Amino acid sequence: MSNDILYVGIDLGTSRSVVSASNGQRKWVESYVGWPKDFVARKMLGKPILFGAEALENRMSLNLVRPLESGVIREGTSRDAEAVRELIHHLIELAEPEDDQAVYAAVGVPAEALKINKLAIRDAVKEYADSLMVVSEPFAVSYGLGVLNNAMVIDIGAGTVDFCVMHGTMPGEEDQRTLSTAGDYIDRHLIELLNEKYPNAKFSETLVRKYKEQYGFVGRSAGRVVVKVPVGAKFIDHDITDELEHACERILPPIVETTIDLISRYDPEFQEAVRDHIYLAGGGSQIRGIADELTLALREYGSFKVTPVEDPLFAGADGALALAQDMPEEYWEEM
Amino acid sequence: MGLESGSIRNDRQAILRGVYEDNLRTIRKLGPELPGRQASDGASSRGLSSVRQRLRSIGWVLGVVLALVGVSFQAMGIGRFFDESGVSAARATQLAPLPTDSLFRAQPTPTGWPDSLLGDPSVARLYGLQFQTIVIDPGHGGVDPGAIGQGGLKEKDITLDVARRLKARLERYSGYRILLTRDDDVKLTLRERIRFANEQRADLFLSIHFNSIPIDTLAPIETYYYGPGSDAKAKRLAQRENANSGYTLAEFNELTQQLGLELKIQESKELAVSIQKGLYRNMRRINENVSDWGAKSGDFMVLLGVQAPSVLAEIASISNPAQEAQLNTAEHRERLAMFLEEGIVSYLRQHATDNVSIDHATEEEE
Repeated sequence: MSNDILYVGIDLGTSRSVVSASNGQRKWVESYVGWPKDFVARKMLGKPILFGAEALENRMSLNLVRPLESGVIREGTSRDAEAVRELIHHLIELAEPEDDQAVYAAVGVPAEALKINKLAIRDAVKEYADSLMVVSEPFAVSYGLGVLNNAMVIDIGAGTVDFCVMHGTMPGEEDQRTLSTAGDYIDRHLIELLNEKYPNAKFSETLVRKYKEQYGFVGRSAGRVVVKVPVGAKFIDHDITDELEHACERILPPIVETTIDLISRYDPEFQEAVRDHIYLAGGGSQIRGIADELTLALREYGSFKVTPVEDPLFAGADGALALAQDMPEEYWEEM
Repeated sequence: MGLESGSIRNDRQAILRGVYEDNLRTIRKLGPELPGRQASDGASSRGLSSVRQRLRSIGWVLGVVLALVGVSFQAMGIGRFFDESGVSAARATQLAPLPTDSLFRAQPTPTGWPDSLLGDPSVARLYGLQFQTIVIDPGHGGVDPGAIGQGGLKEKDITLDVARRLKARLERYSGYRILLTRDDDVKLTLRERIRFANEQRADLFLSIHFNSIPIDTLAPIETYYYGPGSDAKAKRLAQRENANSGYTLAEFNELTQQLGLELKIQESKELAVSIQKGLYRNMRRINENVSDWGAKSGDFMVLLGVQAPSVLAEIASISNPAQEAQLNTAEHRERLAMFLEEGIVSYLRQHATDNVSIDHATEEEE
């Protein structure tokens, strides 16, 4: 493989964005982009733009944008388009291309964004990549796993849950589905439940997201989940076990329903083959017990096997990188 | 084992090509279109009126033809074209560039085609009928392996592989539904294949097969459309392919009565000629031993039952060891798909081109 070209796989997610490159660089950043609110903030921060955790930490001084909220670039907001552009630029910089290297990038995006914002995403990336392919995230995951046939990938992201059935060819729209009941939906529901139970406590979205990522579970609990939350000026223990479980469980029925609905559209033989090859990817796949609970819930329709991917954070970017590296050179030339 | 790993490799290649073409469509904002799918615009309006004038000028002769074939249109499910598009004369549009493979350099048309196959423009072409759904039928499958080569290659596997490749290639053209009767290693009866094509309202049907003949040095290519078997070999082949069709004699008679003979045979014949030409002239460049057994009629049940123009192509010979070795390679199967694509596109382009020539003729008259 030529050293003149740096192949880059990017997973542009609602919550986290990840880059894997052919030079071995593997980095991730929370999908936040922030611009200093004014001159004072600019001087204090010492940077014209901040990304990820650093942007979150300084959110009070920034105009903070999470550009792919709900899985799409919101229309009519140039800030979101600009944020996508800056985020891509940042991710490519994290891959550390050499000065004279051409960058060939394969970018995985939420399926809904691929449908709606395909051109916008291309426009956002083209400044920073010499050649570019855009694909859906679950498809990139499938490609990286090498499950090109008789398989389904369910990518549980923050903004959307994306389904993709692989049957040996490029999946079409009919092979993919998107649900909006994803990670952010859990967060919103969890805040409601906690505010209802503990009206005096302050639960922010960021805090609740952290609880979900740290302790989220479905099915059997590994123990009580007790967190310290300020009430007035004092930190007090709050048991959030039941609320956390209820909130996380809320995404299961639509996933089961969509899985069955999607699979049932195929030949019986193909359905049979897919049942044992359902893969869970995305941040949501890390909710403890989710694969087992889905397998259990699907049992009503027969025998299914749901397997979480090994490295959900990098699965999409690694898949996009594999795709970029496998893509024939002549295909890249026209991109 | 070789075929299995080859199958995974093929999947990968098909997927990479799909990603490339999908992105290419985004860059160009819309995909390439086959002729006859252009949205209504000034030119097509001109086409409409010109065809109408043309119809008037042709007078009562066409009226009689219409009366004769009208029932056939309905029976064949083609009448909806009149409802949806009127007698639109679509313009020829820019085709997607075929690969720059040297195989696709312009070739002289082979001589020796029967005049009867290259006769008057068909009724469908005259009225600017359009094609929307193309059904590809990979022959055999499941417990029915079809012919088996000396090296063990099964016809059912390569018909499916070529069909998938052809589907992927044709899907580059927007506005068309490309369907496979089977997309897996399953056995379908002829009845099931026919029902699928008719339920999906196929506008064009291609059944893919590979020849197997006792003389293994021969490498014929032949394409069939429905009609009385043109020779003893065609009859034998039809008998083999019709085995276990699942139709009764009464149903067979009903099918023959429903068949809009004039239109369907004319269209099927032209499609068969186009596919045969594309296959033979390109294959000839790879292998000078291939024989052109032509486009001819055969008593194939699958061609009778499908209401759309339909052909069955024997695209290579699995009984020829050299060809079997070639068929074992993904590269060659991709070529075959490419050659079939050329035949189909050429047939559709011919429709559009004829319609354009009608436009011009009328403008001159005006």
